[in-house]
Amino acid sequence: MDTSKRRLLGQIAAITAGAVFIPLAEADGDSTPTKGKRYGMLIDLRRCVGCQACTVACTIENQPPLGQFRTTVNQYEVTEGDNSAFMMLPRLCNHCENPPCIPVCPTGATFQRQDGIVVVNNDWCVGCGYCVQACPYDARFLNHETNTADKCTFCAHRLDAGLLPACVETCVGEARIIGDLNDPDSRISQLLTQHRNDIKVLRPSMGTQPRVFYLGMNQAFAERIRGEAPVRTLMTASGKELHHGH
Amino acid sequence: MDIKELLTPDFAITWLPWAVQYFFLIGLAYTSVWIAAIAVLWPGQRQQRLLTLCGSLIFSAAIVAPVALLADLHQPLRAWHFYMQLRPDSWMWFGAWLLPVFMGSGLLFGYLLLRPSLPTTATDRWSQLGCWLRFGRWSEKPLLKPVAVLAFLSACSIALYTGIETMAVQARPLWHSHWLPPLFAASALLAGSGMLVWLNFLFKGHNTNTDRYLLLWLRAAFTLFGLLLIGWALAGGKSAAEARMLLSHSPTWQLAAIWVLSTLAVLALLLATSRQPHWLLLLAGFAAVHLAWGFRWLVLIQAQTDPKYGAGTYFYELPWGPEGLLGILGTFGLWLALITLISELVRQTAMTQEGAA
Ligand code: SF4
Ligand code: SF4
Repeated sequence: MDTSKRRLLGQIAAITAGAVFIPLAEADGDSTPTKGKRYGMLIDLRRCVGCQACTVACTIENQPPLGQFRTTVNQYEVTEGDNSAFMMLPRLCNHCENPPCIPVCPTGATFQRQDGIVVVNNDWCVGCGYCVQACPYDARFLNHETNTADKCTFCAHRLDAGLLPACVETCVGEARIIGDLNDPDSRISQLLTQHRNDIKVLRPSMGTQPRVFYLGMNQAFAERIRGEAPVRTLMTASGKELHHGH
Repeated sequence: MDIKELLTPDFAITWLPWAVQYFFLIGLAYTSVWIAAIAVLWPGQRQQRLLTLCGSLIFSAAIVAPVALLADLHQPLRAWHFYMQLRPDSWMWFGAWLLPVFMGSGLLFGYLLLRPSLPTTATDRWSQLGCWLRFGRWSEKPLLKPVAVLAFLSACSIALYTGIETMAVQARPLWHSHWLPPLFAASALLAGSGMLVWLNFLFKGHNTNTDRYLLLWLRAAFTLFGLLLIGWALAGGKSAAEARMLLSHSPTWQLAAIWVLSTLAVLALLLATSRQPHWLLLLAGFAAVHLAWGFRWLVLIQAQTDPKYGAGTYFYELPWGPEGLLGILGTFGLWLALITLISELVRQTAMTQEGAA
């Protein structure tokens, strides 16, 4: 990104600073249990270059079917006056503190672990898709191969083995930081405190209390995007393009 | 500040056309229970022709609807998982209990309605089967009223849960509106009465009194649906606002709005005509069924193309296979086979009644 673009992003951030910033305290809510671990992720958008290394790493680690993603990096062009800049927004399940995907599940297949990670028991899920409808972030999908609900698990299997999630491990800009929110000395807790006034979550109006936090995000991206849609392409399972349009 | 999305993933729909089939067929079943139960319980309204037609529709639709629902589960063989724990926060879980109750009470009611029309003497194979299905010599009359009450209440529970299950999804502003459950029910009533008009025409022994009675139902259901739609448009809050937003930029939604409005206008004209020739009534019946099915398509399928975070709309193209067109045709085919079978069973009594008249 050239300096003028970087300056523009800085200006945009400055313009919208102040009243529109959602203080961490508000986004945070107060229902985080104080005992035990509570995983959360901080994504420093200032460091994300949109290389999709996380998308690829996640796909290799978790093997979702072609065209389905547990995490991706959305890319936007932001224009103000004559200036425009790119904005990268990594997206994944927010492992919400108040996740609307859980109460709707008619079988209890989707649940929250003690450490806050929201997971799906694929042997029990009936594939009704109710949780997919209920998630306000389009973070879930019905896996075309397993025919059950699927989503990011913070790579719980890796965390349990003492490893970092594949996306965190591979991020070239070290933009993704995962850690224990209940430990005041963890890097994520310290960064959250340090940048207290510049931390945002997605769609705070939905009351989900996400535990994926964004640093350096413009307020225009907090709620639903109002803008021009991308050229979307519809592909068959074999990758043949069927149709495209806005 | 202008935002342009450059790269965002497309998102496939989750509830497939099977869901439309389920909502449509179960709507036919619960509204024909309503119509029949009111005819049974209301003094002086009992008309065997109407009851036979309702019985046929209840019986056929209540059997095929759950098949469509099961098919919409991506793991249908695991359906028993619904019953292995308490999930009182999930309307779908409640539905899993309410539906079998409705199957029981609705099918029993449907059978009692059909029984007087089953043949009493065996002249060929069909009538032999019909005789056998009478299960001996007994009178269904004393059972009719209590079962009608039971089935009526159970039908209400289905209308309630299907509506609220959809309405409960806060993440979809189009669904999250109190207007949705009554809109579903009113449009189901339109489809139910429209379908009964057609059954009256297709089943042997067409009866003009039944037509006149059904026209009342059609008019009532249409008025209710129209008023509810206006109510939603004016006071539908975020749901109506979302629809306006989609209308402002999506050609697909604009087309949908034109379709809804023109179908409503045609139906209004057809129903307002005071001296209805039979073909006009049939046309109105068809338009009513068409409107109710299309309404479910828009609400259940097209609404899923509305992104929850991003701009624009997602793509949807109806696949040919079981997850698309084949599923739709298959459920209709199954229903058609069942209703044809029933029409054959009750045919002979229609003939003898005609002969006696
Ligand atoms: S982001 Fe969606 S899937 Fe993830 S916990 Fe929140 S509501 Fe559930
Ligand atoms: S798709 Fe699976 S996890 Fe989601 S609500 Fe249905 S049963 Fe639960």
